[in-house]
Amino acid sequence: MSLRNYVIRRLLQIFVVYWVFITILFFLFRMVPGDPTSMYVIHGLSPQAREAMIARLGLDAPLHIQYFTYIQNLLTLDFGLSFTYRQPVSEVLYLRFFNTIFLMGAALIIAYFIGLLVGSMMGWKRDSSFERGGLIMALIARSSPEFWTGIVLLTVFALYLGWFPTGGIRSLDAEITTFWGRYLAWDFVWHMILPMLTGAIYFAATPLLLMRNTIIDVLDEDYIEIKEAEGFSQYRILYVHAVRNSVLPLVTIAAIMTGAAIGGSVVIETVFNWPGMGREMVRAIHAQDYPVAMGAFFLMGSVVIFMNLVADILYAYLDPRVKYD
Amino acid sequence: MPHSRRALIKASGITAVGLGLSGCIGDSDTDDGDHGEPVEDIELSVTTADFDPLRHEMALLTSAQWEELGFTVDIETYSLAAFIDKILPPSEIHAAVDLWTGGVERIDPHQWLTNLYHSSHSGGGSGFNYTQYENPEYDQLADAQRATLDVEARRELVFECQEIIAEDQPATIICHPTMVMPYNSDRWSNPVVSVGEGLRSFWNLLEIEPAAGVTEFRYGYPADAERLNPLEQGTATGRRLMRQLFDPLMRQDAEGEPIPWAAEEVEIVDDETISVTLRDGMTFHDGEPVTIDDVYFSYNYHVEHNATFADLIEGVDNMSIEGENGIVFELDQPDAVFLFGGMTQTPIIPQHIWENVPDEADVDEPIDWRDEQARIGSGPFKFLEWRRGEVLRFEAFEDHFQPPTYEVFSYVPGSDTGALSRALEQGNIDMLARTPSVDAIPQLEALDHITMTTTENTGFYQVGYNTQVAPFDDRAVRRALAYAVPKQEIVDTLLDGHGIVSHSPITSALPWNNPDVKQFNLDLDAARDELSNAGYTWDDDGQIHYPVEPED
Repeated sequence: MSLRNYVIRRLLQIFVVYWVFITILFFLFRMVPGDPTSMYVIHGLSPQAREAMIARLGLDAPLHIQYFTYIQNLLTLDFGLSFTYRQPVSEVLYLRFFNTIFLMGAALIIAYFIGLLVGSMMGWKRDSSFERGGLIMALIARSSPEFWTGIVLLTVFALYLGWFPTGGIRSLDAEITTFWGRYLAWDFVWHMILPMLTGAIYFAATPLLLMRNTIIDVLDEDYIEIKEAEGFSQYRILYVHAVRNSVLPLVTIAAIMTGAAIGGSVVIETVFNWPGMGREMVRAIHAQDYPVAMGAFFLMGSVVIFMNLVADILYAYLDPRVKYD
Repeated sequence: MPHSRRALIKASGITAVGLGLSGCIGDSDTDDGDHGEPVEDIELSVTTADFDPLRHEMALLTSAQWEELGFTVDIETYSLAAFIDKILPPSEIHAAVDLWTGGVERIDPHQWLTNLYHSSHSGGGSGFNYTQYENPEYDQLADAQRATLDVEARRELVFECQEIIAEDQPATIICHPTMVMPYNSDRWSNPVVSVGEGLRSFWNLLEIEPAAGVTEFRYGYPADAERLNPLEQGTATGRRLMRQLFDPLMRQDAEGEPIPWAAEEVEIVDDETISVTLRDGMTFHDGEPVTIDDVYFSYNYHVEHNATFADLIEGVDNMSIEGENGIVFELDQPDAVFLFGGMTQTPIIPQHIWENVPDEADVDEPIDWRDEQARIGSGPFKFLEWRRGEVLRFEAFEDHFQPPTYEVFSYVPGSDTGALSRALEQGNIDMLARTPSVDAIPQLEALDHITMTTTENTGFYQVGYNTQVAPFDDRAVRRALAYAVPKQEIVDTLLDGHGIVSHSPITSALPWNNPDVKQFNLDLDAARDELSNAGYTWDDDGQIHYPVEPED
């Protein structure tokens, strides 16, 4: 089968995946006890006002009717109105999604960069104190919870040294005129450094350990020995010839890690008061704001589905031996 | 021989707990016939430790004492939404530990006395009386206080209501937590705290004094505003913001007493007639004058379009405009709630804007309208900008009769009080509008630029009982359980002393509080006396049994 046919088939599969995904999401949220008005009750919502609210949110219709309405709207890319904000879900999530993507994207890129460089070096210097030290550091980083790493970084670099702000995404008085103006600003980068570092420390261990393992295998191959015999420098052999043949597993886990990073961003966002999608998703679930919660899961799922597709296609490019059938 | 048994239990109290916990109780029919049926296991419902560790710990401490009395207690935990769903009438719970949050609008005694314990608020899917407490005598008094406008006479009735619920214990009030809120005292001075509100009071936002050169007051709160619409006051967060943008006819002062605000004068003509004169020369933020027609329109509009607090003003039978600036409200019956709740919580909205909503606006219900025009009021602040999740800004409205002491008010939402405490420490916000976690308080106190304020809360923690379900349908059991709630220990250990042990839902900070109600403090002997006087007995394992049914 050609690559083109393969891509088409994969795209068709995606539609089915989406339908199953949406349907499960829809019923899952509605099976949770309570309804979106519950949260208002403790603030003094009267019983009449509560019933009026249920009707206004369309929650008095039978569940299957609600489901068909939702699917119908979704086909026109209408995610509905947030129960809490009474604002279209796309508006609620749009900036929060990019806030999360830029933060976690940067953290992942740094994690991969560190993982690739240090991991391959560790594989090369097998049984050295560099490797042992690296392994210990990686395991410590991997097993430190993000909120703990975050608090330590905050205590040292924000509260003690005062180099970075304790939280937020930009200064309160920042002027914003355009979409890119939000993110291409030093103020934004300055606010992003500590949360990004927290994520990078947490995520770096996975590509690092994986890289070390595959490099160890690759270095046993004959062609490396031949390259050594040809007299190439160590670094050239390692980073040009060996690494290239070791990145395939990294591509596979990139899709998984992206999903974990986006879904797991809530901890970092909470510690650093980052207005991202993870926090919004948790809020929406607590408040039973189904449209926002479903929209957020939809976006998160889409990132994972998309990254899997990219990984599969990238495979073919990186390794011509991969066949599609 | 109940007395000797009791003595035995006292002597072996610890053993009894051990047995209770191991769960080998409940089928003890081994005895000699002088016991009734064993009392069934008690389910104590509470929200998850994850949501609020304090409430969960309260349930644990309380259940340990109850077990000591010979009850078997199962703690059931729920997420907040599930918990609320569970306790709302028709209630399915046995007993629950819960928190009723305070606020300036809950200062009026009617709020707790009626909503929580009046029979019209139990059962049938309406109201918050999840204890399903039904007492005609109490109902009568609670109705009477609502219909009494004379403050002294009303206080008498409110006191009687509190006496009855203290004697009957449909719920055991544990304590009113103290609000401890920090602010940056390098930049600000003379904050105005008020009961149930602390630093987030309307008056503080208006009157706190800036140091030289300080123009922006940055207010940190661990939740974002949801929407800004004067009809929508579903959450306290939104309510606190809207009251800065809009003026009601009356406001509650820092002590909670209603005073004329947009009204020049409020005259109680008779029990059912209230005459109001509007203050002269007020304008909306768009420059249009505030007229008596706007007042008339607002009161109609709120009822017609189901505003959150429309029920507070539904008792208005007729309104008539008198002269240039006067309006007369005629009520269908005397109603203190209209006077102190309705008039303080109904914002005056501009008729020239809202008369076209929803017809000419792109929205079905006015309460959902999100246009910036929905934020045009006449209050001391006007809307400036809103970057969701980051900051919401108001600016001083200089044409107001009492403009704020500074230029810009910034509402900074945080992910939690931890993140906001750090921002306060670094100087990125000026105050925290919620009590930080118990362990963060001493850390903040130690900082030079931070000063703590403490204020009494109108909200409280309670253990509520479902009075329609055995064994809680027996007043003696409720009173005995009340004696076994370790109130002082809860305040001392869980709240680190930041709270006041209470015996009435109305805080002792308010003149409505009756200080002479029956008090239930931890006293297991008194609890056992209550139970044995009512005929309850204990078997050899320490398990409590119902009184023996008299034989026919």
